[in-house]
This record gives sequence, C-alpha cells and structure tokens, in this order.
Amino acid sequence: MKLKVAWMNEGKEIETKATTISGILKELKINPEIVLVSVNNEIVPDESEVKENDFVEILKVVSGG
Amino acid sequence: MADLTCACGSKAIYTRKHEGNSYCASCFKDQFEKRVKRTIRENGLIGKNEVIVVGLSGGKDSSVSLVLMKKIFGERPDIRIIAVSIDEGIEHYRDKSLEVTKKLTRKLGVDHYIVRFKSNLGSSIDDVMAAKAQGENKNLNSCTFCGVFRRYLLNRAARELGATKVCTGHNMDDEAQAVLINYLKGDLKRLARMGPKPALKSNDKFIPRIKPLRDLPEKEVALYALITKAGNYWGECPYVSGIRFEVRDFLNDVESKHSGTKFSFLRTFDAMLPVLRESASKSGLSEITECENCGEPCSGDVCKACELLDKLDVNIAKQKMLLQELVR
Repeated sequence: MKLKVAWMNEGKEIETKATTISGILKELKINPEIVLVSVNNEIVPDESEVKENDFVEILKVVSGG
Repeated sequence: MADLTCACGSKAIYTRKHEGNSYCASCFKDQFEKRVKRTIRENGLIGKNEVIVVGLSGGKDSSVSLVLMKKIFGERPDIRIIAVSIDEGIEHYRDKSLEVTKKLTRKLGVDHYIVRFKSNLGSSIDDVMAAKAQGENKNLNSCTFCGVFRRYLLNRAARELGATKVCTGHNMDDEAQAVLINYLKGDLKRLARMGPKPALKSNDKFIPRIKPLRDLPEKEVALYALITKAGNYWGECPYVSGIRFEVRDFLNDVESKHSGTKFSFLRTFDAMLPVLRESASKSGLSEITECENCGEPCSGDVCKACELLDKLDVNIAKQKMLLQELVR
C-alpha cells in the first residue's frame, strides 16, 4: 500500500505493509509516545486503520527546553 | 475495523491506553479540564484572594496552563492572573515563542511582563554559549545555567508583582523525569521538595510553585493545545543537552511497551513522599535559608544563581530587577 507521510518538515511517499497508525510508526521507528498523528487532516488514535493514498501527518509533541 | 468511537458515540481522536478508553475531541477536552480541576482541588493549590503568576514560555504546556487558569479562575473577583515570560536570549527560538506569548495574553486580556536575562544578568544564553565555544567556562551546562536563572528571575518577578503562587506548565512527563533524575543523582533534598503541592517551609521571599498539569501526560497536553488552539508553538531549544533527554527517551520507551508506567511511577513516588519529607526534615534538608550574597531564598549559604554568576563576574545583589515590556 502507498501512503503520503509528513514527518519532521519532510513529506514523502512510502510503500508499507502496515495497516494501522501503530504499524506505520513502528516501521518508521517512531515512538508513539512522542507524536500525535492525523490522517487526511483529522487527528486519529494510534489504533486507527489507514488505506491506500491516505495522507498521514506525524507531529512531534515532546518538547525540549 | 470500523473507526474507534467515544462513549458518546462520536468518532474518537485519542485512546488513553492504560485505561482502554477512547475519546472524541469534545469529551477529551472535558475530561482534561476535569482532571486539572481535580488536581487543583485535591491538593488545595489555589485558595481565596490569590495573585497567580503564570510562567509563560509560549510553548504548549505553559500556554495550556495560562488558558486553563483564565478559564477556571478568570471570573473570580478575588483572584488575579498575571503572565511572566523569561527571555533567556536564544535567537530564532525564544524570540519566536515570545511573539506567541504576546498574542495569547492579548487574546486572553491577561497582564504580561517580560524579564530578560541580558538586562538582569548581563548575559544572554547565546552570550554564555558563544563564550563557551571560545573556551571560557568549559564545564558550564546550558540547561543548568538556564534552569537556575529562569527559576530565580521568575520567583523575583512574581514577588515584585505581589504574587501568592507561581503556576508552571509542568506535566506528568516532566515530573516523572525529574523524579527519576533525582533518584539517579541521589538528590534527596530535591526529591523531598517535589510532589503535587509546595512542601518547603515558608519563607517570605519564596513564592510557592504550583503545577496544575502534573497529572496529565505531555501527549495529552499537546492534544488539548491542538484541539483548543491554546498553543501552537512547537520549537525546540537549540542548546538542549544532558541527562534529562536520556531519561525522557527511556521513560517513553518503557511507556510504549507498558502503558501506564509513567502514571504508576509518579503515584508510587507521591505515596512515598511523606516518609521522604519526614526524613529530609529531620536531617534539616528542607530548610530555606537566605543567600549570603543576594539575600534570595536558597538551601545553602550561597544560592545557585550567585555561584554561577561568580563564574561570569556579575553580582546580582547590586542590581535592581528589571521587569520589562508590560504587554496589555
């Protein structure tokens, strides 16, 4: 499945076998505790499913300083 | 699998994993505000006739803290809320977040003061780090320098503004990290000072600090900031370093594998706190003294601020506090 992903000010298209947000975060080696995720501009829980061509935006929410 | 739903039937945006409950935006917001009110009520953080100075950096935590103080206490005639921002002087970081603080305080109609490192201490963090890069004060840690003076200036500013409490945006993650760091460093004195309500013996010069977001994880504070538009600045300090960030990553790693770890860690600490405080009190560790040099409250003969400034050849005892830029 192909998805568009935005993370750390970078957007890219990825090919993934993951079907949920949790699975995508695991593939990208991102700890779910430090991010909020929106799919097609709507914030969703980590357990949510994704489908072909969804736009997944990952926002780092853990601050430093 | 269908979309996760909230108990109200609406589409969920968040699942509190250790409880197994999913919430829509509206129910999440209500739950969040109830928890903050419960923290304030159960710990008696705010009483009658209070002047509350909210430390406002412009980041999500302090912005949410100010928004909620205004929402919960804004109509109370006996409570005054003032925002104070500390400008450490970090170009491309603090200047941007200060713009956020100005907009937010104007929107909320809250009096706002800015206190600058440069005017009050003679050096900004940028100056200190530039000197360090040239070989001066090689052992000076930017986070130590910054943390000591932020607390020092916030306490002094709050006192000069007549505050009865200083409210900060510390969340559950901040608290869990601080507890673990103090354990790792074996710092019983600091551990005994922590907890949901101020524990230090009274000293007229020390304004008690309260942390109404202490029972809420950082991720939930961020979610509240996003859905209420309470805070939208996500910049990161360019100088961050030290053990806190290793501890932060460690706790988040454990939390992702074992939901509720941070919550139970902090609850266990709170349960042990009375014993810890009794022990610290018997050893004289909870006493507040006054700095021999500047007269500010501290726990030794000379305060940390004077110790650090000695390295920079600045004497704050001789300086008048500069509260700058009253923004209305």
